[in-house]
Amino acid sequence: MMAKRKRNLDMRCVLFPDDLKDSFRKAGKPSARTSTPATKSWERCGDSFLDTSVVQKLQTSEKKSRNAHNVALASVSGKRDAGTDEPVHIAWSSSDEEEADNDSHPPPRLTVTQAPHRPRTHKQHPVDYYRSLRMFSTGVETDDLPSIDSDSELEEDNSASKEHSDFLNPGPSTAAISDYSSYDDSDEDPEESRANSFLLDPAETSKQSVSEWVRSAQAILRTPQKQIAKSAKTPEDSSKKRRRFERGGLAERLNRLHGRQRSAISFWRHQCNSTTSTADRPGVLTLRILGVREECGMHATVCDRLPEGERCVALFNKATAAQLQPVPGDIVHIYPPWQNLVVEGERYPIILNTHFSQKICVENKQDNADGPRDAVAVEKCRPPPLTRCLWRSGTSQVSTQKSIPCKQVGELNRIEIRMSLLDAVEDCGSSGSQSGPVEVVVQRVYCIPITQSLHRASLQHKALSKPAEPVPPQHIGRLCALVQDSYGMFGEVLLQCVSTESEIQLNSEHLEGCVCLLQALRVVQRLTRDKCSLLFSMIDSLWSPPVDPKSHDDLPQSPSERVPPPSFCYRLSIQQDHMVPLSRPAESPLYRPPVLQTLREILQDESLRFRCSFRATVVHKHVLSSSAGEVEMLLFVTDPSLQAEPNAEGNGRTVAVCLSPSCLIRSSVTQALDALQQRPVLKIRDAVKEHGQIFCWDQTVIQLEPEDPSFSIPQPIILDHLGPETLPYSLCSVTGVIVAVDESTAFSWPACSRCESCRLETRETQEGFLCLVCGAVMDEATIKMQLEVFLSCSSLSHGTVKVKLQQKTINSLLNSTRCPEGYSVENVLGSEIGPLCTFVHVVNRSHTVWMGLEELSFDLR
Amino acid sequence: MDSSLLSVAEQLLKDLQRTYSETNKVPDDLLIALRFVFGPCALQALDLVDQRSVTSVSSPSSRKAFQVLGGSGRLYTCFTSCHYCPCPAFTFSVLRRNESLMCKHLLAACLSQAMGLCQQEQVSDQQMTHILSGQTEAST
Repeated sequence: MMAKRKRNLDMRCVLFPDDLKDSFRKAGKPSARTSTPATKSWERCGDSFLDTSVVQKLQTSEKKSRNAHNVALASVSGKRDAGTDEPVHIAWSSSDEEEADNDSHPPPRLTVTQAPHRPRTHKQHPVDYYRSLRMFSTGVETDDLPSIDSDSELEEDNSASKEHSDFLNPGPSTAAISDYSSYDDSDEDPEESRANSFLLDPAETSKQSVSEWVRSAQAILRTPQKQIAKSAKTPEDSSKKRRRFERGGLAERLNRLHGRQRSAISFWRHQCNSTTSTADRPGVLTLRILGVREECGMHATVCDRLPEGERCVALFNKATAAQLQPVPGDIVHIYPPWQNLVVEGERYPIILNTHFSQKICVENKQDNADGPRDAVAVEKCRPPPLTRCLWRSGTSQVSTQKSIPCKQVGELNRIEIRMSLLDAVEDCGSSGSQSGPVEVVVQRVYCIPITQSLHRASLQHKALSKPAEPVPPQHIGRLCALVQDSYGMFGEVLLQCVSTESEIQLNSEHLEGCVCLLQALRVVQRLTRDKCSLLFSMIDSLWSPPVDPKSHDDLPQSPSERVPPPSFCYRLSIQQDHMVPLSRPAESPLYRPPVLQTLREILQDESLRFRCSFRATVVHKHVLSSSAGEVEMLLFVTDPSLQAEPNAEGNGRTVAVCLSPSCLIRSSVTQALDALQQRPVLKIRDAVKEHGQIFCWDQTVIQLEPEDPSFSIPQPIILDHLGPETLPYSLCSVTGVIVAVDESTAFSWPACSRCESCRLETRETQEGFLCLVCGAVMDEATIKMQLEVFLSCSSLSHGTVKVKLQQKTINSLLNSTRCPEGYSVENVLGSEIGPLCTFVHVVNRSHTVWMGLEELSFDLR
Repeated sequence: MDSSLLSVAEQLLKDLQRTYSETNKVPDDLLIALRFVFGPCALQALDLVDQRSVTSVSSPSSRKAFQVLGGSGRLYTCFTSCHYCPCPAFTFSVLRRNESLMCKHLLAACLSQAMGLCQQEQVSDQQMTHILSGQTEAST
């Protein structure tokens, strides 16, 4: 067999039966036949012969005599050794492109000599064959750059001419055709090729094929019966240009492939008409057409695939559709190679490349005759809107399968786990699509109170989050995770809303410190340092990573190199269960757990702002504001480091921690804060110390610690002494002498001895009281008192200190100075009281120092 | 009824982008499929792609457009937000006769973009104004 792709000059020319014989014998060797001038001209002519775009140029003008070539043709009586090569005169204008509209001469005919004489008649050819050939030529017509250059002198190596010589050369080209049915050489199925080639052996091939060749040659050279309408040609500037394609380029390759395909199609068509083909072969699609519509020049038919019954949509191009005339109810065989394409967004798979289609009529509407049929009226589709453009090409997740016989080529989704958040974010693109999976380390897990998160999450995400139950449980907060990838990039991932604290605890324990896989994440926002300074203070506290981060450039980073922390990160959202832990908690080397420090260390750190974690005992709480369920309070805490003696200068004994509403406080902590006499110990993670004050903000996590004997503070708690530097909203201890009493605020009132309510009623019959609230009856009611005194303190020489006293102190004060007449101010004045634990409400330094204090009642158990 | 041919075309372009980005080659069957779906202009479009005739033009105001150098040397501007080409072939085959999905320039631009073979050009905002307002400028 001849080499299929060989560009042997000898092979590319038209071969006469003798030559065929030769070629089969000497496979590929340069033939030793002499080329007579006649054959030579035929060689050249033969190429342009098959330029179907030049079919219309068959008209001759006065150039006929100039351009006439004498062509020698073999006789086609089937005798392979027929040596009578009778020249056939062909008037041919090969190299010019003009069309002569009026030909004074009869169009040239190719005379085929059945016998060695020279008739000038031309035979009748099967019209449909010629028509189908013409249909392909019309396809070529609208090409601006015809694939075959009619000027064959230029095209020494033109692969197209090779294809057309293949066309005229049935023997070897059957191999080419069968080769075509599978694009890989290795896949060439000999059975398939035989089936496709429908010719049995080379000898037979040459015999039969020559006659066919002649017929086909006749068909080609025949005058076209109608002009190809000039108007059908699209008016493009470049239509006049004829150039070669870039070597090795895509156009050249398509040209070659398409040329081959055209040859194969025309041969197949011919074969279909002359012989009946067998249907049941592997790779043949049998479709029953359900509906036809026309779309942009193509016919789209919705079909049932027999025998399985799956639906598909088969596309037929104009030529095929005209030949096939698909109507609902028809059964069509589509021979390979066809293509199956699954399109995103379309319900049914699409069948492409349906050139090799044949109808097997079910209904006997009319004979499948050779005569042209009236075109069936087909519904035309609305053209696609101009607003829909194909520019956006995102990542495709669909597999494409081809119909290569005995071989299914499927491209599967490549699920690649990314290591870079940035890449995953880029994959999401600007359209908000999902991306992933990404491998990250969870550095922190915290919960944002739900009122906050409503403002945070974009509406888009809210709409997309799973609406699980018809009545959603009361959500108390939204879980968030601060994650970091191996390149050092951070991201804040918004997880699901939680309704119980156990959920928070569970998730925190399971996720923190783990390597997790983020699947199907969406980008909510890009956060920058200046807009989200809080989050970035958190990120700074986690920088630099304990393991050197990877570099996107794959350059090694020297450890000494101080890489600055990132200035941006992404807020992402993810559905529940799409964050999958891959390791056990706290296992990743990238994880930086919070480092617990003593309060002393924290206070001594003079950085402007940093994140700190500590354990502390709460001694007092002061509510700053309470509105709409959001409570802001101050917690006064201390720890052994601050309570230790001796006290280093400058250290306060207690520290005020501000709890903001944006920090979710669990109910266990709230309960503990309501029972401060138990001295609850809290573990506060990632609080912010800024300007000397500690704040609990968004990412801070407060947990109640179990009782720990090693973490004990002495009783009573040591407080700072009141002094000139005392600040408001602090705790201090006061000792002083009463110098005055605020009589305007001195009250006493009876209260129920059981419930301390002041709603008492005197009993009518006896002495005593009845409590209206709890119903207790008592003889004597408890007397409650309120007293505010002015103190003179040694530690505050020039200043006024006003203290609102606690009941106990008042009692002890008044008892010690009791006299039968009741209480008199004079008796109280001059008494020394203290040390009292007080909360400094107000410090006024406008003239002299004026401090308003309130005694606290915590130091005694 | 709406045409699904555009979705088919879109899918082919997506597959092309994916395959080309992974293997830097275009398989034969994809070429054939392109020819099948897009028709005769596929060959010329590929030729334009081979010659790198498509330029992605962008300006500081981050507006973009595609400019395709046609076979005759004329520069056609295709906009990114709509499916349109000023060439006569588009007007004729696509708009008037609804015979094909696009002209070779548009297809060349789509293919070049899918395969990342566009030339990049930065122009000033003023030049971009000219381009977008339909005054073709001969580029380099």
